[in-house]
Amino acid sequence: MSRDKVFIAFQTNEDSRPIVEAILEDNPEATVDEQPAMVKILAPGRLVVKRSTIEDKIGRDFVLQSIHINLISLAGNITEDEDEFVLAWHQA
Amino acid sequence: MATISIGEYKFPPADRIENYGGDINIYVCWEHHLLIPCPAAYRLPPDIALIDFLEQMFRPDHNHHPEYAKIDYATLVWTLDGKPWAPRLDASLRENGVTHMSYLSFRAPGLDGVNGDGV
Amino acid sequence: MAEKKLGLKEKYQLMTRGLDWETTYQPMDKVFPYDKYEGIKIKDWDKWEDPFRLTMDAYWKYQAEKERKLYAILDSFSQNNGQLNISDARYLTALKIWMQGITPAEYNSHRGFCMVGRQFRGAGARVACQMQALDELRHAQTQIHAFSHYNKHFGGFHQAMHMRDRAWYLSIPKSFFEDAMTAGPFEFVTSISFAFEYVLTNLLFMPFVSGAAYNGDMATTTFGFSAQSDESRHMTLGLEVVKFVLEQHEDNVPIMQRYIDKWFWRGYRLLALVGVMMDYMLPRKVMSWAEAWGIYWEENGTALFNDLARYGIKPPKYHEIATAEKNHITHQAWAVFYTACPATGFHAWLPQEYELDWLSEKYGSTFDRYYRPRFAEFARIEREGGRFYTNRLPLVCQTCQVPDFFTEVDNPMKQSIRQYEWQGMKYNFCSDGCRDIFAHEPEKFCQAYIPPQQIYQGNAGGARTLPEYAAWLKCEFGKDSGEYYTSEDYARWKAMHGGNDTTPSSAAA
Repeated sequence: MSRDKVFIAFQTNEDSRPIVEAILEDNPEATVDEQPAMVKILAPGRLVVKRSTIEDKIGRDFVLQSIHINLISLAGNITEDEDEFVLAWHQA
Repeated sequence: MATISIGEYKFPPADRIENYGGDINIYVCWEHHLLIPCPAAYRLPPDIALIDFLEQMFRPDHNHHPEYAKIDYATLVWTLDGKPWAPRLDASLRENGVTHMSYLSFRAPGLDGVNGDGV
Repeated sequence: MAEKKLGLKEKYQLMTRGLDWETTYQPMDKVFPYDKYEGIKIKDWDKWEDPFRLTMDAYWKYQAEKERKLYAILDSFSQNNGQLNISDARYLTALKIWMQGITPAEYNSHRGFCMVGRQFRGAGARVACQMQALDELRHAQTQIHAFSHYNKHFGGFHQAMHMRDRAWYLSIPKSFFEDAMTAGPFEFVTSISFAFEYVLTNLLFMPFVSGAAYNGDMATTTFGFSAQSDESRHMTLGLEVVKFVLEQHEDNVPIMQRYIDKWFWRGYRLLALVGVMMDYMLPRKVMSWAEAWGIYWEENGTALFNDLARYGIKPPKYHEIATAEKNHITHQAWAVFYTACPATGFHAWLPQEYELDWLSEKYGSTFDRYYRPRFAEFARIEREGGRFYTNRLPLVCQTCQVPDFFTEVDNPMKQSIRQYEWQGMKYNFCSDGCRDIFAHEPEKFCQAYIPPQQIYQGNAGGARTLPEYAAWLKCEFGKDSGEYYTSEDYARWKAMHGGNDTTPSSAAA
């Protein structure tokens, strides 16, 4: 797997805060870059967003596709199902 | 190569000389004086003498540059369409080999912009 | 217990492929006549996958939610006179250029996706294009709504659509999208979705919109990020298209490489406008163009093309030139804006002292040596009561249509000009990249509507001089155009602040 960085960025707000916290918990190598009105999370090679971790944070059901509402941008190949949203570069 | 198309693809150039009523379109650049950032475009008759073009058209557009007054036309070092060029000032653009869409540029030796900064 | 819901994959399959069919009354090649002539070979359209697996029902739901959020904020912005909270009225020049240049481009993008959404025979691709066509229309509309509030208070916002077809600097985005729309569907989608949106639009929507927030512009931040939430879906489509086409047939590789080369370069030239917005029009500074280029092209672009290398795709031709120019183009472009602003729909000005220092710091290798002296000379002329304007129409590149302010990479004092002769006529270009694009399709680019030439041919309402031309644009000097510090905008901004000059004196908020 490539170590080139993937990233995902969200609007800074209360909807995205638990999502960001969940991502940081699930991706120990991830780092945060806070810009005005925007929070960007970078990780080497791969980053996963897990529905279950977000649900633990917010205490209710969460539909993973609803991350679209506050999403600003991303880089990497996407694989998505009901439980996980994965960003990754494939090339070694 | 050619444009890939779904049928015959043949259109006349938008800037063909026929659209200029006997005039031509040329571009002129005074190098190393970037207070004027872009080469300037002119529509003019090809029979105008180079010196008349410089005095009657180019000077009024450029003499607000603080160095323009110091230019000595006789010493200018020219290129025409990227190649060294030694035009006669009293000959017409046509006689000097300038054609439609030509790019003329010159340097004035000793003038390198305000404070020598290319400005 | 409710009935078990369909899984994401199952639902996507049913709502795209399940609603499509092979035609029998007419052959498929007649129903979809335009998706083969480019030479792209598709063996199996069913291999198309939208990684988000978004279906129309989910699309409507999320888009409705985005619109509700957006319009609540726009209402609040106008009810609370949000225009008073921006950092400085100079900032509005960026919004005017957005309104005049980017918003019409969103609309053209909408038109383009309506076309290719009809042209592809694969249902998955058609659904994705349909969503994007709707998104782009939404972007044009929300931008017009947001800017309409500024139009009540400031000049330059009043005639964007009229200007878009006439103004020299707006022919840059106009020609970009019209070139894409008049290409085949695969070239269109590679140009807009991949080269422009995946590779380059982060530079606009991330640092610039974040910069809008930093400059107190709640309206732009909100529509900008709302649009960008669609953009991440478009970017994903862009990458997916490229991977799908490359996986379908090896003969597709050189065709896609050429599209990527062409549209990277065209997109990069277009982005000179964004670069100058970041470096010169944000009174509070977030990030320089060179820094943004470093992050979003040099870093992310490298990661992307490392990933695509497995298909035999190389980084776009001349990307090294683009990187070499990163410390120059915004300063060169601002000198053009400063000297040519009477023939536009915006104001320009000399950077304040704190901004010159910021530029010196961010562009240590070039600014003090090449550009600060130029601004110092403009300032001297201003101190003596003058104002240095350009008197003459410029040479405009036949391909990108940017006035040729670019200089040679190895000599920032020498204008970069390239020429190419075709069928007995000379054409002039700003760069090797633009010349190569022309040389590949001279039949197409010889038709380009180049503003200075059109003016000289009498096709600009008969205007021959710059003031006549500005009148034809419906832009009034002092009201919509020309120097900022003698403009009505500046006078009005001061009046809004008790007669005080509130020009910031530092880059920090």
